[in-house]
Amino acid sequence: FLFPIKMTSPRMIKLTSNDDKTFEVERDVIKQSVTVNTLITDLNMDDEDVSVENQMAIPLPNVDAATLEMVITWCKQHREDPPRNEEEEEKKEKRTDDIPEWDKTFLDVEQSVLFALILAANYMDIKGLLDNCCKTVANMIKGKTPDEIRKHFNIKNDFTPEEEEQIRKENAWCED
Amino acid sequence: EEETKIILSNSTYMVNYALPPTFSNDLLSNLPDDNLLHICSYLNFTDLDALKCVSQKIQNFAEYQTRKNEKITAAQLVIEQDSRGHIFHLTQRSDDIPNYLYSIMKPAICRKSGAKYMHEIRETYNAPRTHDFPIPSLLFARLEKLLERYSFVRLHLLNVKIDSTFLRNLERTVTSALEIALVGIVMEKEC
Repeated sequence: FLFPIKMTSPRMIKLTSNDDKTFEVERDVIKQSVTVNTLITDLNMDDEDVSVENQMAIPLPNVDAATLEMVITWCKQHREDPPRNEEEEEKKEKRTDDIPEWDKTFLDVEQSVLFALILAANYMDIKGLLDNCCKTVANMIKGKTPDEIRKHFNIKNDFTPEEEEQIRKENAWCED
Repeated sequence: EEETKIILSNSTYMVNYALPPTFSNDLLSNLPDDNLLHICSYLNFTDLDALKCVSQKIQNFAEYQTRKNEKITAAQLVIEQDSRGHIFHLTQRSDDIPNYLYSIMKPAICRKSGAKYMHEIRETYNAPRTHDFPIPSLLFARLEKLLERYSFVRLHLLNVKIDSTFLRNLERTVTSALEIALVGIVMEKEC
């Protein structure tokens, strides 16, 4: 007996950015976004009878096209990552020297892009991306003096000189 | 609009990226609170100290994280009083020289101790005779700062006059001792 073999192409999901650009992305890739995943489940979009052409696009009003494209690239790269166990992640030592090499290169971008990725990862609830973005920012802070941090991030010093001196004195004698 | 070039290992993206005006300068301070705390959670005490001096908003997050960071366990905290003055020192390992030493006393003793971080207040200070008066609250204020980052196993009180103010200060500041050693202390009746 010969059974017809049904060739199934990967299930696709449509996402629309806040500047009205629509992206088609594999269901398996975007599962890393808890926000999108929940929407897909809640809206019964896993129904195999609905073709991608007839499928409703998921709007992402807080993410622009350029950032969404980067988020999708990151999700594609990490599609084989094992599922995260949040309880174990909480117990883990907080390190910043364990960012994968690919991510280091990927996140070596202008601050505006990096911070947009943080906001997108936060909104789309992609924990792995959010962790690595925050670690990258933490690495930018590490080892810097307050002045260097201000310059690096363009932060306005709103302390009076007296207040600043007071805080510095309080902390100075017990530094590690 | 600012054009940003993003180069990945195997491809190049050209994206147009324009931020809202309120977001264009200080991106870090404008992050949602959760994200700022997330970033702070990767910093050690020294980096958090630097952050505290950056701006008022960032200071609040750094202060919060300092209290949340896991404390380093030290072996022993000694609070001591003698005819030269008042002192506390914290030792990381029991057989080690003190890592931190804070004294309000006459010169000489601190310099000999070899502690890594020392603070001496000497100039306007008249050292008491032992048990003359309780440990000044200034010493507890300093201790409070240090105990944001250290817990310790043993508390050693040496030649200290214990009165209700001392107990109140001790209770407020020192919360982690598992073992307490008392040597040569004088207790006031109400204690």
